[in-house]
Amino acid sequence: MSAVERESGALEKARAAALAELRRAPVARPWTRRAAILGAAWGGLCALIALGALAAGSAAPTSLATLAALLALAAVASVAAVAPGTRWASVILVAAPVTMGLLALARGEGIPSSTPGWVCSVSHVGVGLLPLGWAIWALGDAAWRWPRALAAGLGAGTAGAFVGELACHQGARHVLIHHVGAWLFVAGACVAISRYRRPRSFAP
Amino acid sequence: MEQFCRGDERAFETLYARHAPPVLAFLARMVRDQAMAEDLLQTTFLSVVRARGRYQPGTTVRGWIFAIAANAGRDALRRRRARPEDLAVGRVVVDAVVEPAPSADPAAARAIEDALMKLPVDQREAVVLHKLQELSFEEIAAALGISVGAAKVRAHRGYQKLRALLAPLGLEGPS
Repeated sequence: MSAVERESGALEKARAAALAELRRAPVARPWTRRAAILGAAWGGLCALIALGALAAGSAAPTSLATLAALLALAAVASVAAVAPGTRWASVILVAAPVTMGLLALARGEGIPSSTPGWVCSVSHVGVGLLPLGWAIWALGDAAWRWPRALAAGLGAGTAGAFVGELACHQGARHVLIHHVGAWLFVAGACVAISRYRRPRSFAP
Repeated sequence: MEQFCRGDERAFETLYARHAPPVLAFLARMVRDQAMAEDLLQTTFLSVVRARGRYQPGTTVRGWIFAIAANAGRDALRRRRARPEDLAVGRVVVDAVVEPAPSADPAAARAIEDALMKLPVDQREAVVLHKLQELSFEEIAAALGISVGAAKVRAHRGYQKLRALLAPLGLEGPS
């Protein structure tokens, strides 16, 4: 087979595959739809956690402002995880540490507890597993970029932070070590796992 | 592009006919392996179809498609943990497929191709897109997700390295 024949064969094969894909899904889905689904999933989980804590009567005294800040962070992170480019991810990379710092500062001395700190860490990571799975699924829509993957991981970790805000009464030091630490672990896991998954598309 | 986003097959055919051959040539130069380049061509255009909802109006279609091809090529090279010497295996086949480098002398063209493979991937991408695919630095910046200045720096460093690699062979390299 000559080089020209081989090249035209390769071109025809790729054309046929792409055309079949176009026929399978003729209408383009905007990335905003995927961001809305991801944001709704994360927000819905946070709402379920809040309802569960209220129903169980275990909700710690916390300000609505901190919960609203976490929900806002999750909403922006859902956009950052899916949006083309990394502009939104940059917003999260600034906003997340600020939010983490404010959450710890707002806690102050807190209320001492006999519960070991690792229980909070494990709970935070455990609650973050499902949102982490959604984040990794959403990241598959585009080529891997670390700022986007990190923003998605930080968004996934907000569910655990939500649990911490509602169920944990301990002070700033505990929050920084056991909650922020677990949050960063979830974010790091998102970066690492998404790096080795083959995306569905290599679009920027 | 708007018609393609609405699922118009003729719009896709036009887009494919215009962009697929240069994308295949670019991929062949990027990975220096014909079978891999052909697979990556398919991956690129499957991505184009799947991700057309991510296309940002105002960016050039050519730049966007080359961005996808560059991402796919980089991912494939990373997965194969490619080193230039590993890639030499596919060279003979690829040399038949890619358009010849801009040189009348086949030996010089081969030397340029070999030198190109010795560049770091990011510099090779910038040089191939600029010199051989004739993309503007604005298009290259959009394709690689970097600033225009960074695209110029990568290409400049690539050209410098090419000149250094080609000088002992008595070749000047691209200007």
